[in-house]
Amino acid sequence: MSSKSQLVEQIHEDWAEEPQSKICLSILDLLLKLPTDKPSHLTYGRLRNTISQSYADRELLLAVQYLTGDRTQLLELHYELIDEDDIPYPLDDDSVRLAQETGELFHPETGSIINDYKDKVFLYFTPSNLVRNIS
Amino acid sequence: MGELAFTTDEGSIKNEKMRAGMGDLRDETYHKAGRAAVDDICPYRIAVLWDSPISETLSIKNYLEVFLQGNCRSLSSQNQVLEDVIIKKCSFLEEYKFVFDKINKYLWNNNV
Repeated sequence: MSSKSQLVEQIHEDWAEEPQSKICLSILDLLLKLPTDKPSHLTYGRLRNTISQSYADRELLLAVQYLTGDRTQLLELHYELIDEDDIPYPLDDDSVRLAQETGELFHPETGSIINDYKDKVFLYFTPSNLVRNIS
Repeated sequence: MGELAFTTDEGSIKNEKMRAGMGDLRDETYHKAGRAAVDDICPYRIAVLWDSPISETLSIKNYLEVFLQGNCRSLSSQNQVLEDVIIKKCSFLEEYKFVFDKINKYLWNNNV
């Protein structure tokens, strides 16, 4: 179990004066505010709204990569298909891996092939189990 | 505000709309209770309505509307740019000017 102060220290240690320090701390605050007994679904836009608008996407993406990586494992990364009707469907990792290998993605409900699937598959994030145990 | 579509941190997608002339959606009881229960929401589609500045002259109640037609997908995109605005229910130059002034005001104040 980690404490919030340990994580803050670690983030400062890893990023020092880089913008990612503040970005990661803002996201950490968001994660700690989420109710642990409810599901969470955080889009890239939600993370974007959490941080100052002055940060570039590249800076946010590096921070997200860090938060999903082995060093912190605070965020879990998932995929979803958002179709032409703007309806999201969660995708399991195997479907996405298979699509990357074969170039074909099948709709999780209808089974039909998704045209231009790369334009319709998006990332979203959930807090990892570690977040629940932060004291 | 007449229409608002947004997502919540628990993964829901909401689309709320008021009938014209029934007031601001943000003051509606159901909306207010829901909004007070969560820290934040991520809006992606909004309709804002104003009384026409010439309603009295025309003796007709008219609501001018600006519609920012984003979609749920745009919240997941790394390129979150909304380039279009739909202006509805304007019949007179004065009404268009009124709406353009509003848009300019909010764009420059970066405060919608």
